[in-house]
Amino acid sequence: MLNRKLWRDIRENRLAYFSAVLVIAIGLMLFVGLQLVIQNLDMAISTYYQEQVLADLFVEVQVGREETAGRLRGIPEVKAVETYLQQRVQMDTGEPDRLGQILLRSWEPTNRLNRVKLVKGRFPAAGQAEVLFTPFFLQANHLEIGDVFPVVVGGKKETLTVVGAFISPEYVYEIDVGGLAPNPRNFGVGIVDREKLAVLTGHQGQFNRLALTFRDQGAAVKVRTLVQDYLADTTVTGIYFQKDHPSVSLLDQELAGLRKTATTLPLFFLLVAGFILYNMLSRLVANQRGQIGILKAMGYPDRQIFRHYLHYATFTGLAGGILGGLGGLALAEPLTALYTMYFQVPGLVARWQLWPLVIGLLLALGFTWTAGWQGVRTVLRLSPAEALRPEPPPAGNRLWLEKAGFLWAKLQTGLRMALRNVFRNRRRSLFTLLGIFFAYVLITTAFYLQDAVDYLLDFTYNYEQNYDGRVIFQGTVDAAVAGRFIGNLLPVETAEPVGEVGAVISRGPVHVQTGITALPQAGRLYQVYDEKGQRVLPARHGLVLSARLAQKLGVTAGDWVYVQPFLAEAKGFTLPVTGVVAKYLGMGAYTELTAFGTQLPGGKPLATGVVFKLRPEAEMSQLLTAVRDSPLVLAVSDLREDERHIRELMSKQSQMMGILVLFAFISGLSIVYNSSTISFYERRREFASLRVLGMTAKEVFRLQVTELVLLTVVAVALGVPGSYFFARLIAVSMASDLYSIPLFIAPASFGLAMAATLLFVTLAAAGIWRKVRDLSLIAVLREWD
Amino acid sequence: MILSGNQVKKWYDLGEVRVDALRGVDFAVKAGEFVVIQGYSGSGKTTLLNIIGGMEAPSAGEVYYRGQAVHLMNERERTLYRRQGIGFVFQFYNLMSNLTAWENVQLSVEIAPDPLPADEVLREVGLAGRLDHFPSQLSGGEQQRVAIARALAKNSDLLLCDEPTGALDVETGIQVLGLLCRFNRERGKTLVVITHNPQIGKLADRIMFLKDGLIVKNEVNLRPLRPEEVAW
Ligand SMILES: Nc1ncnc2c1ncn2[C@@H]1O[C@H](COP(=O)(O)OP(=O)(O)OP(=O)(O)O)[C@@H](O)[C@H]1O
Ligand SMILES: [Mg+2]
Repeated sequence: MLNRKLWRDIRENRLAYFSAVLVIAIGLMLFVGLQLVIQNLDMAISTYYQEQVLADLFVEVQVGREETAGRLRGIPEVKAVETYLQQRVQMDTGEPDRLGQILLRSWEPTNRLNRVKLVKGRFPAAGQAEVLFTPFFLQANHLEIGDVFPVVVGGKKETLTVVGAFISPEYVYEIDVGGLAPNPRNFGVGIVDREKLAVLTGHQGQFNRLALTFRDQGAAVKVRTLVQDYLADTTVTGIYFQKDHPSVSLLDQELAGLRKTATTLPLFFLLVAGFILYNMLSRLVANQRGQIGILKAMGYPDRQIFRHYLHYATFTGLAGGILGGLGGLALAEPLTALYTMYFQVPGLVARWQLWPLVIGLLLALGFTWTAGWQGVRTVLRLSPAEALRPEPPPAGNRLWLEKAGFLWAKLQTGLRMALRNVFRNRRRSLFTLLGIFFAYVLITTAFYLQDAVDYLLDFTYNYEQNYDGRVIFQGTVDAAVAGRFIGNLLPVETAEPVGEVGAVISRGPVHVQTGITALPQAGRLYQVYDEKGQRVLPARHGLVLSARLAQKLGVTAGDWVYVQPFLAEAKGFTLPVTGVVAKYLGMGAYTELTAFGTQLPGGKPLATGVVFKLRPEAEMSQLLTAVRDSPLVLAVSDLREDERHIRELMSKQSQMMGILVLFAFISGLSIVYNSSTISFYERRREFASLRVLGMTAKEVFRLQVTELVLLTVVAVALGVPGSYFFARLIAVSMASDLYSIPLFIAPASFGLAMAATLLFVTLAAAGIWRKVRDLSLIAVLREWD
Repeated sequence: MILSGNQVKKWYDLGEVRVDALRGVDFAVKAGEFVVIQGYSGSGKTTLLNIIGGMEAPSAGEVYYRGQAVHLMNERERTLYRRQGIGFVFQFYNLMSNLTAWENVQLSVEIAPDPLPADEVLREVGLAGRLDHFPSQLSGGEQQRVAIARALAKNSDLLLCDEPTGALDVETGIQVLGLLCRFNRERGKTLVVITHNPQIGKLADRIMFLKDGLIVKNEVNLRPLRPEEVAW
């Protein structure tokens, strides 16, 4: 019988329950969907690494001889060693509007480590000028097997024939060191036969890159030290473990970010659902106090009554859980597909697994039960005699507002009544207030994610990097020479040399591998700013750190750090941290170019590139023509094109954000609707009495709406700091080495959220109006509960 | 003696003040007896009935039902006691608003150890045709009859009624009382009824008068009338 009561109660308030179910479903859908995606990615990637035997340690050197590698094989903890050649070369496609680079990597049929996977065509034949590119690169450059791809290697033109397509665990995400988004028109990796590459680069019998695997992972640090010792006769320009491999760490960070999202986001929705449910059940129990008393008087044990009320929570949790679980399964497919759009991983398909569903369901039930338990708990405390007496009214103090008689007297009667009602039932008012608050905050927070991305792109590409492109040299060039060379070109308005050096920055036991960007002191094209938007000048004999890097090192301005550049013959030195700056894309350190140069071998300021701004009427192609044949120049990157690529990438993600906004809308509407429906239900008898007293339906409605508007105003006002609070939580939890999210919410977002909230409140009010109008006085007054 | 009380006291602590609802009540009820409790408002009638019915525990004193010490029971035992031994009817109809008449009665059929069929009891109270109606579709008297049917269906030996006719018109009140009397006379069940109506006293075997938490008078009725005989 109690179950029938349950169903009828639920049916009577079906929209309220439906809204709670919906919010739970959204939370679970995100949970299950994202967990599945993480699973799929994790599985695909780790299988991939294993199958292709991704090495444990990578070493890059200037030039090494094969004998050295032979000696490394003698280290007992080392399982396998392989050497490679790699060379950056200029694209020579003859297109006037680009001057990109290719990183050529050597390949031999005997390779056992870091194996490239052939997805189309065949491997390059021994000694032949043949090349493999990735499918993404081929597609972006409109290349087919059999096409030729001209490049310039060390000043010599060379034509490579495309014989197939490859993917590699080292290039799941095909970006250059320090890059942020793939830009296949400007950068690509090419696989070439080792013999051929040796001939092209004049490195016969030599290598400039090696990789090895360990017998025992525990010996990692020891092996690294040994390798450094064995390679003492050559210049090591980089040495890193698998986890620090640019591609690996990038994927790790992406996954870590996704994991965070996959837990916090659903949790947020589940919390909201828990709130709704708590609100519903605690009030249901309060409203059915008399019925509970009767059940108790009849001899129903507390346990059974308790269980009965918990069934409402179970129902909601199960319904939401199942709905959300199925939704999550459906979501997994397109989400996984999203990743296949920019990750080149084999076997990345949407696989379904049961456990996220099970965990999700338990999670939903956990939340609803907790909420239900909290709401229903009071049932147990009441003795049946107490339950049958009406609830004692809250102490009927006069409002503090009423005491401020002067003000109070000025208020309209309607407003006065509404205010009194708001304060008389604080609990109900608080719930409604919180409901509207949550709705508002949910929406601003969802918008915030988009605002933050817009802001960081604008900041990065318009303020920090206020140039059109960058000339990248083959190796390093004297900074003054480089600046003059590019600055004097006709299409260039301004040019500034930039020195970029890889380095390990240490503070005590903390070592971070990162890049140091050396900028001219009075530079205008590449500037850094602190959190407040104040420009920070790169210091002579000092380092300016990005906030993320400073945080990782645990330093602030004034501390000293140790810097070991990855440069031939460079010795380490200490520098003070002179400032911490905002950097949203990537992380790194800045210093002043001239002073930095004196600390490097050669003692002169060196540039690895020049950033430039074109004259308003000039075209990029004019610049490219001017530098194309210079032996100094490797490539030219077009910043605006990079920006376009990254925006494109972000816009795909912002489709996901769009879904989030939609979810926030649904949840917001649910909360407000739910809250006001319950309020109405609770007060139907009060309304009926007012109607009986002679108030028109309109007057009753106006009273209720005045109350709602009062609460809305307060909720929205609180929602502004509330939104910042949640935005900060998100910003802090999402920050990674790849990007940090600025704390910026556009005024328009507040406006839109407000409009949405008003819409919800209006819809709720419309619902109330219908109910007030159709309120059957007789039925209500005859009912007992 | 099916039911007896010895110096039963009940007080409520309301912060500084203490309200004494019962100040030492002694009583004894025979099996099959029909007892009416009368008294001014606030005299402690409901409190006494609640304590007898195991709805709340006395602050002091002893209450026995068939040898069981009701005053020593904990909440759990009281629940079992109510479930097995007591039928309650309250002043207000106290039906579950979204269960039908039949379902409301079925609610007590499901938990009682030896219940009567819901249809049968409802037929007895004259609601055979209203089984599927919800409380909001029933008149006050009909609702009260459902509440009585619900108490009767338990087929328990003791029926406790707190102003069962308080909210009803005279006619309906008689009907309802007739039902209760029949239950008492025909089935030999013990009946304790609180009422303000002195006429009802004429139906009972005995009237207990309460005043300020004490029993001030016990009036035995040598020849109880039948409901039809009472001049309302
Ligand atoms: N929970 C409580 N807290 C405080 N005082 C209470 C409580 N319940 C009852 N009382 C007090 O105990 C006294 C007896 O109450 P009781 O309900 O038994 O009276 P009654 O005889 O049933 O009155 P009525 O005829 O009006 O129903 C009253 O003074 C009442 O105010
Ligand atoms: Mg009473």
